[in-house]
Amino acid sequence: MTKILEEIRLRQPGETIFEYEKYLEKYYKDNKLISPNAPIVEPREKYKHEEDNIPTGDFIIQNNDGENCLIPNVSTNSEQYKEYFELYKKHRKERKEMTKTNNNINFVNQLQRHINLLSNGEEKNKLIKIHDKIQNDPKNNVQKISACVEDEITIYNLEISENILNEIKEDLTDTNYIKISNSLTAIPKEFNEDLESVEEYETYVARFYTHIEPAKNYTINAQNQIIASPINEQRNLYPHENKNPYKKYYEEKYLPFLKEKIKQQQVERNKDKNIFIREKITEKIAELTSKTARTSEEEQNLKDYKDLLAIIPETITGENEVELLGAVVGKDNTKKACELINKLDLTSLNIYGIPQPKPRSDYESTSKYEEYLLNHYKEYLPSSALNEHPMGKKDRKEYPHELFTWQDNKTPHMSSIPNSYYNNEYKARTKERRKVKAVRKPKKNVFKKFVDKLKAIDQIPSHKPIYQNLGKIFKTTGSVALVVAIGGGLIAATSMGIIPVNYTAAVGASLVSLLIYINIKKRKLAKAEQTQSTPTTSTNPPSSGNGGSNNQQQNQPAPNPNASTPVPSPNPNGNSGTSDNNDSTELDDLDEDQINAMLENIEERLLNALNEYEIAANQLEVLMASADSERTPEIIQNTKDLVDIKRQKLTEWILLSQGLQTELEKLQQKGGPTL
Amino acid sequence: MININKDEIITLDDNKDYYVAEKILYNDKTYYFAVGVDENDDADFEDIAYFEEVIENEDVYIEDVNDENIIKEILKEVALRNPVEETPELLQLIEKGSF
Repeated sequence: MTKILEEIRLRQPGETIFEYEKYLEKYYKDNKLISPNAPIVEPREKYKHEEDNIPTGDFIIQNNDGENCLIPNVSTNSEQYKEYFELYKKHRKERKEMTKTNNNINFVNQLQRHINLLSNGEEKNKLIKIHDKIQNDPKNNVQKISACVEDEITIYNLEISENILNEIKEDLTDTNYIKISNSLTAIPKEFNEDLESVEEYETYVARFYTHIEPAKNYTINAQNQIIASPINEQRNLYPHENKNPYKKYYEEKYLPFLKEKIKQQQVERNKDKNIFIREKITEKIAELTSKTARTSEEEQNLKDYKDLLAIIPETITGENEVELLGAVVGKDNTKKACELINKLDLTSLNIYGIPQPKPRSDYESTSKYEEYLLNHYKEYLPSSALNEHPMGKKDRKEYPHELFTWQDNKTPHMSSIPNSYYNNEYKARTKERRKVKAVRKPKKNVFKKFVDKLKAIDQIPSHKPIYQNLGKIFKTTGSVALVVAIGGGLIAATSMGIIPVNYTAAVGASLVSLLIYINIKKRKLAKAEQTQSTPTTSTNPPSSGNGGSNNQQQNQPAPNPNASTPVPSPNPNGNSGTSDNNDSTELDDLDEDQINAMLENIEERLLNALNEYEIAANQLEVLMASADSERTPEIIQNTKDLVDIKRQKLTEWILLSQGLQTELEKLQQKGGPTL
Repeated sequence: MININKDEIITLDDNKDYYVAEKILYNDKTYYFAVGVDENDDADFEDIAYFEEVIENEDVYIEDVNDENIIKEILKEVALRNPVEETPELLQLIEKGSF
């Protein structure tokens, strides 16, 4: 059945394009022809007509409820409509051009037009201040921001001096008329602890950013409580972190505040748990006490229940306590509590006597730690609490985190597994096993393709210094591509969080040793050239090193079919061989001063990168330890991304510093100055 | 039973293809240094993988290796097997004194 709608009226004399579009917008919304939450679309899109195919007569369109709706007499071929449409196209074109070319002048003109319409008041004063400051901006040390005004159609790309921006930034973000859509330079006011609490300041900052980026409602939950600091987003938006007043506040004030808050929440949660358990035990005691004749076993149980009640405290302080699944007891009572709980079989209440596992750092490898965890849980958990492994395969390794159920089948209490282990290692280990369906020969020389792609990392600005400065060896030659491959693999693996950064650094050393080998070869070749007094050719150069297996070399695709005979493999551990000791060939373009200067610079950057990484990792840890309600997937992902970025940055600097150290050592061996 | 060798492409049950750059035996287990490839067999740099082979009832499975010590061994072996070659391009650079 077709629903007949009202006719769409044409534009009235004196009605602006903007007003008419508002009418169309309302018409479509009222008739459910566009989703109420859909972004504002232009009239042409609403009509779903082609420009050169304007329909006439009745027009049928499906609404949100799936009903056919007839819009009668869509006389879009009328002169009036055509006139409107021409105006509309002109208007749209102007707006588009404006968007492309707009600048401070357009912005202040627009502001002036709006100011003229306003009656005197605070809003007008703010806008006049902004207008005057931008108009008279001498444009020194400019910063770029994007802004739009109320209709949100035109984006103004503004260039404003830093000091001017600081003067108007609060007004810019406070006014309803202007919206900063790119907050590169919009910085929240500084924290003033004399005037406000951390919580109040966080609320302000949260609102500040929510205002700038309304789509990212990442900081305030439904109860108007802060759920996370916007530090991640803010850092991403604001590249000059050292100038960021929020950073210092965040580290010195907000993080301790957050930790304390989380601790308080944990104490509250634990308090509830202990109250619940104490109630249940009290019920058991009452039940047994009410019995007139008790067996000896019941007598013993009654005593045990009383003992247990005595060691499960009513008041939780958060200090010197050990968490069991279901209760918190003092450290000294852990063993006794576990024994009693397990003896009394409180599993029907989902209470198990399991002490908190040792931290991951007590074990040298993931596998050993998981073995420990598994045994730890098996020792204390009754078999009824153990689940089949979620993979459903009996022969799979069992992952302790998923071995037991918790009340209401919820995930076991996070604090029962150390968070860092859970996040960094456990999750990585739970990847599924995949079956190999088929094996085939590659369609092309994948190795070469692979190498070519890897060489592209030399083009990534952040990677470039590593390869450029390590003796300027990475000249995208096929011969060193594998070294690049290993390095690239490490960086990729590290960024994916598979390899801890310290390990990456260790393997980075072997990467450097391969580079050293190339230098050695170069010098040997040069030496051979001098001795023979003949031009260097691709004849077999002297070999060095002892590694490698020749049968494997046969399978290795040569980057160039005309390549010379492969040189026996180097020792990738960096053993340069004895023949290198008297080599006097000059090293690459870098000299001691250059390397020393670079090292000093890198040392500072390395420390910064390490610091940033630790802060980010700490932030993630704190976040993961927080209550469920405080963690949204978006916040978790953002924090993880931040950790990954910092980790990668740190890795790069480590690799670079190692390479330079090695070069410097070699120079020193030649009689250069010591550090 | 499927036999996987170096320089072959394996197709997994999630239809993902990997190019096996190296096959390594370590501690009586078989590992692969692999890289994901697309339908044209172009390598995906973002997808470098370290796999352990698991054989079960004549079926071959792979599992991601996450043990840092094993990855280290794999990389060490990869480096040993793939020594630096001196190509004409490299020799040219040497002659020019570029490095």
